Parts: sequence; C-alpha cells; structure tokens
Amino acid sequence: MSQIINQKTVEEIAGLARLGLTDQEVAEQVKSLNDALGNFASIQQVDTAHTPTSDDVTGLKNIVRPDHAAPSALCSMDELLAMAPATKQRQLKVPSVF
Amino acid sequence: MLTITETQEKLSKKEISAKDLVEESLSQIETWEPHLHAFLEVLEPSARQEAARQDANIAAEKAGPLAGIPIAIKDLICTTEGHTTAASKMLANFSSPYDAAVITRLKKAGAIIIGKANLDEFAMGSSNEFSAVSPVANPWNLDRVAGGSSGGPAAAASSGEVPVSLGTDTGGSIRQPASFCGIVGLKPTYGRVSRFGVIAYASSFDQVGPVARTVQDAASILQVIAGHDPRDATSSATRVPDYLSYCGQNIKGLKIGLPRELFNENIPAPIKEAVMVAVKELEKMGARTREISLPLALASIPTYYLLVKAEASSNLARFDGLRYATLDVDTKDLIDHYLKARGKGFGPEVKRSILMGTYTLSAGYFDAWYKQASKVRTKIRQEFHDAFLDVDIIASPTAPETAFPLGAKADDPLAMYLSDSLTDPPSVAGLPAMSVPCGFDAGLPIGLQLITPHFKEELIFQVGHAFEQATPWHTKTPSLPNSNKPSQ
Repeated sequence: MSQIINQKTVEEIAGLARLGLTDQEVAEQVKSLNDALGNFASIQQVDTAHTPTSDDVTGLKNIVRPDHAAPSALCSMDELLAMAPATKQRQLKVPSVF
Repeated sequence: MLTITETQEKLSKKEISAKDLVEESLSQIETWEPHLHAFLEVLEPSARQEAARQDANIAAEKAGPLAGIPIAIKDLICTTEGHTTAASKMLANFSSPYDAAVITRLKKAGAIIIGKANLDEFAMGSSNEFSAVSPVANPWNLDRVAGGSSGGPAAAASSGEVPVSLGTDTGGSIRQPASFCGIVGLKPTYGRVSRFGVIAYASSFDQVGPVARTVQDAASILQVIAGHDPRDATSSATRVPDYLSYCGQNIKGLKIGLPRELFNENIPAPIKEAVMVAVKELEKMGARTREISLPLALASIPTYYLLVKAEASSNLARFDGLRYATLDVDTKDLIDHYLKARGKGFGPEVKRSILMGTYTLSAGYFDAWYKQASKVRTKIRQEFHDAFLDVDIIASPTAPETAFPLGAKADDPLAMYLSDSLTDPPSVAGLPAMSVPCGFDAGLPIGLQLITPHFKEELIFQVGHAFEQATPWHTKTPSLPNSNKPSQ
C-alpha cells in the first residue's frame, strides 16, 4: 500500500499540534497512521457530489440566552487560584512567552 | 446482586439501609479490585457520609428516586469529590471545582458516588488498555479485556462492585464494554443528556449513559439524567417521557429491522446465532422481523473516525500542562513547555488521534478527508431515517467479537478501531442504541444491540425489558476463580 503520510508530514503536524514526539514515536505513528488512513481512504469512493455536510447535527437553531453574569454558577476566584501551580498578585504565573 | 428496583423495595421496607448498600459495595470492591482495576479512585469517606445523609432522608420520607444507590462514575465526568483524570497523566492531579450536570442530577436524586471508574485515556480506545494507570480485566474471564472506553464502569457493574455505573459513549464506549461484560449499556440520542462537565472527546458524538444489570435499572438512571440543560447548547428540550412505564408493555406488532450489513461474514457464527435466537424470542412475543439494508453502514467506520479524531484534536488543544493540572517538565519557554508537557502527558492513542485529526483538518487535506466524512455522515443519517419509515426498531449484534485477550490488539490500532464496526453506525446518525446480554460463546458474553429513531429511548426499554423477561441472560453473574460460587 502506498504511503499516505510520511515522516516529514508527521513531524510537521506534531509541530502544529504542539506534540513533542521522540524519533521512535514518529516512526510508530507513521506506520499506524498509514494503516488507519489506508483503510479509511475507502470513504473517498462514496458519491457525495450533491450531499451537504452534516455540520448541523441537532437541528437546533439560534441557541441564545441573556448575557448576564451569574455568580452562583461560577467558581470563586479563590477556588480557581488555589488550583494553579504558581500565582503572583492573584494572577496565574506561567513560563515566559517571548 | 440486587437491582435498583429490588433495592428500592428493601429500602422502603427498612430491610436494608443506605449504609448497608455502601458497605456492601465497598466490600465487593475490596474483593474484586485486585483482579479488575475497575476504579481509579474509591471515595470511601464521602460515600459513607452521603449514606448517612440518605438514610436520614429516607427516614424523613424525603428520599429521591435513587436514594442510597451506589454508583460508579467514569473518570471523564467532573465531580467535586476526588479527582477527574480522564485516566491520563495530563490530568493526574486535577480536581474539578464543579460537578458535571449529570452528577448534580444524580446527587439530587440521592445516588451515592462510590468512586471514579477507569477508562481508556480521554475515552479513546475499545479495550480499556489505553488507560495511563492500568488496563481493566473482564469479570467473566480475567485474561480478557473489559472493553472500552467505559471498561471500568462496565466491569464495576458486571462484578457487583456497584449496581449501576455512568459511562460515556462516542462510538460504542458504553455498548461494547456492556456487551463484553454481559450487562446493559445505553447510549442515548445525541442531545438527550447534558454534556456540561464531561471532558469532551468528540463534541458532536459524545453522550453520557447508564451501565446497569437490567433494562429497568438503565431506564431509572436515564430518567434522572435526561433533559435540557441551558449550560449545554446542544442539549435538547424534547420532552423526557416516563421511561419506566414502558418496561412491561408488550411488543406485539412492533417491526424489527435486521440490516444485512451488520450481520456480515466477518461476524463470527456464534454471535450471529445468539442474536438470531434473541430475535426469535422477540418474534414469539408478537414482534415482526424483516431484513433491511443499510448500504453505507460499514462506511460508518471511516466516517466516524475521521470526524471524531478531528474533533478530538480541537478538544484536546486546551491540555497544555498548565491549565487544569500541572506537569513537571524542564522547559525554556512556553512553546517548549507545550511540546514537552503534551509529549509527556498524552499516551500513544491520544497522540495518534490528535495527529490524525490535525492532518485531516489541515489545508490541502480537509476536503478529501474531513469534509467528505461530514457529507457521508449526512448520507448515513438519511439511510437510517429512510429505514425507520418501514421498521420501528433495528437489531444487530453489538460487537463483531466477544471480549478479546488482554494485549491482543494493543499494538494494532486499526484492529482496535474495527471493534466498533457495529456500534459506529448509530453513533454517526446520533441515534439511541442499547446493548442487552443475549448469550455466551465459550463463557464470554454476547450483546444484542437495539437502535431506535431519535428520542425514542422508551421503545428501546420496552423491547429490551420484554426480551429480558423472556430470557435468563440478565440473571447470570460472574464469580472470581477459586471462589465458592461458580459463574452462573
């Protein structure tokens, strides 16, 4: 079976998905993804030329609610800050972005 | 092992207390857990406290519909007690600050959360071998898998550790383990039960459902958890019927469709035979059966996997080793942190899912894969809709196999995906479907799958209960090897 996805593509996708993979993991995923996608490629034989996508699965439309704060439905800030590994001045402390 | 209905009778006659029920559950857990690993966390102190509260409610005649009933919760559903880990290193030390909607409803009904049940990591898997903690064994044969991803809930209910569990089902994750463990498992209609507080795998497929030893017990749980929730924009306002009232109604004249594609040559003969014997029982009670065709049924497998992995890749983007729970990684900046934390925190099946989903959503590949799958889903939904113009209910085997040996498919992801071949079709169409035990092959349970149109769970209960009353399968219970009691 010809390869649908190669090592370079897996590495690129892993980068996009922020997934750190070892060389061994890349090799394993190349194989398993090719096995799966090779099997799933049969879907491309189904004639969908005149078929809409199924983006809407519930038939529900325009689900809205009033935009008001509901403090009783929220966790307190103290509860949430208590869950953070590091805080400073009641803010979450994370590694630098730049 | 008592059913919920039997338990409620004994509670009302004061023959048993909530405390007794919790102690019995904890005792069964102590006996079975070294063999099964169905639980990630047993919430002994809070369960005992809640039992005392429920006994007080029962004495004051303020008991809810599930007062005193111990329940295991798949560890994908947020509870304020204990942790919610999704059986992943990524969330190993996460404690939810709020209860999921289904938990709030169960608590209000008086149910007692005994513990958080094991699962395939982030609900991705069909054997419970992808749990980052441990696999789950099948109570009927400890060398076999319990099924997945709700292997923990299924094993806990099947063994008697609890009378009932709550699982989730995306492509078969309640039904297939229920089939493997010889019990009842229901995936409700998409939108029937709120997903608020449920860690998302695939947002247009996921549903929470009961895993129980009888159809009536499954109906009791759905009665409590079903209904509209304003916090879940996909939850339906469709009226919730009195499900229990349908248990006991006759099935004369009901038309049952048997799709030839779901009885194909890849299904082992003993499974097809057991299901056909089950169908004959339904005919004896007045139902009429006919063969139908769902030509795209088996196209559900690629349709399902392409869509759910795409949705999963998006849903799991939030897990960065910073939010929810921290992972200890040595990093130089934020991107490096993401790469290392997600590399360390996720297991191989989760990584494969994210990679597949990211690939099929990316520019240049989107049309051929994701968009095509989305269109085929429309066609599959239409096929089921057309079939239900001629029949009331569709029956098939639940799984193309009985419980396979631990390790048999762990290194073969495609083989694992194909375990879902019979449960994927109703999932793709958003239809309710339930597995009920209908026999054994070489000591391993076989499941019968019943599928109805959207929001017709009452019909599934009607047929499932009628089948149960005419057959012995729901009375069979596993025993540990070398125990005094043989499996029966």
